[in-house]
Amino acid sequence: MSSDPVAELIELTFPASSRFVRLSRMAVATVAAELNFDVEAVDDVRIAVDELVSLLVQQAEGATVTLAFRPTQDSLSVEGHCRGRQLASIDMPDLVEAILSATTDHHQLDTSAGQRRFIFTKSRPDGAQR
Amino acid sequence: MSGEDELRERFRSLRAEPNQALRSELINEFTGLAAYFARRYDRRGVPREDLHQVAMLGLLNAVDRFDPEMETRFVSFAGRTIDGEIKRFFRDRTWSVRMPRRLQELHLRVRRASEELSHTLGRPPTVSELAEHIGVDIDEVLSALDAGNAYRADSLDRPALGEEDRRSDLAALDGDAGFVAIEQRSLVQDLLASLPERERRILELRFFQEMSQTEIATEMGISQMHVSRLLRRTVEQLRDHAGE
Repeated sequence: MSSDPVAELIELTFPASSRFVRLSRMAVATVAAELNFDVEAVDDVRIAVDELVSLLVQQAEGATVTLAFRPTQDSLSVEGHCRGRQLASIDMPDLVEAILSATTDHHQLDTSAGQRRFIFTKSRPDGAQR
Repeated sequence: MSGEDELRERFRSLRAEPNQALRSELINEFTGLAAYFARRYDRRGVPREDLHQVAMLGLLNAVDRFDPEMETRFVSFAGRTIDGEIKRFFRDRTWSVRMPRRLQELHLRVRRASEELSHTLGRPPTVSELAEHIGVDIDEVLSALDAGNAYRADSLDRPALGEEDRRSDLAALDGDAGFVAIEQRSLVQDLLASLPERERRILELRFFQEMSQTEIATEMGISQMHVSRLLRRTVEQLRDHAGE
């Protein structure tokens, strides 16, 4: 399987508010649909983004979240970070860890003091072709 | 031996030793009862096929839980169980967000198409396959899939929505709080324990045993889209509880 990046990089920037979680969910679903992910995989990336963006925007008034979607031939990588002043550290609940493990191939999250960033990748399931 | 006595004997046999064939036989015999209860709740704004599926889950529960040593006849027990399951469904899952009728209908078409295509293709369909199958564009399919989030807690007492109320109010879906409020493992365990058995099972299978939605659907005898919706609703329910 190739993992060469394809040309497009999609970025989305929005205020760090839970009001925009749905926007990020719709955006990742749209990119995953473009990659011809099946409906289950689309659901997975949507759940993962839902959880991760919800974490990023917690107690982050005035901050800004940027999501970068990087599609490759057979997978989707999503990076997110929150920029703002005095971002407190947040613990990742066990259930979120379980959800991310189940819905993504790989994920990393840094929510130590001053840092709010994540990355995850999801491969296109066998069967559907781009 | 009377019909009722014979039925009790069959349940005794089922309780003594797991027997999938006998279990299926009993479920098939009482499918009409599930259909009867599903019909009683028709015309309340919930698709008939959803009601039938919920009634069948009630029947499955009744077959699995009926104690043949109880005085109650199976048909009474099953009736109460099915009725309870449907009422719980209404209590928990009615569209509480004002969803335009067109989007509700599209959501149902997408669900049906997804089931059909999953069967034909032997795998879940892609969004573009669904769009092509239904004859709508990809954006509409994505909106319809996202509309599944709108099944939320509601009450049977809620009046039916008038046409004028059916305007889109998708903004009400915003405001996700995430699981950020859950910081202690014990709290997570308490929350899981508070879920109804079926929802807890689905959550465990998906997130802790990492089974796919399709695998869970097969195991539980419901559709993949139904699993998807229950999963999302349950996650939201946990968030709500965590925020309290």
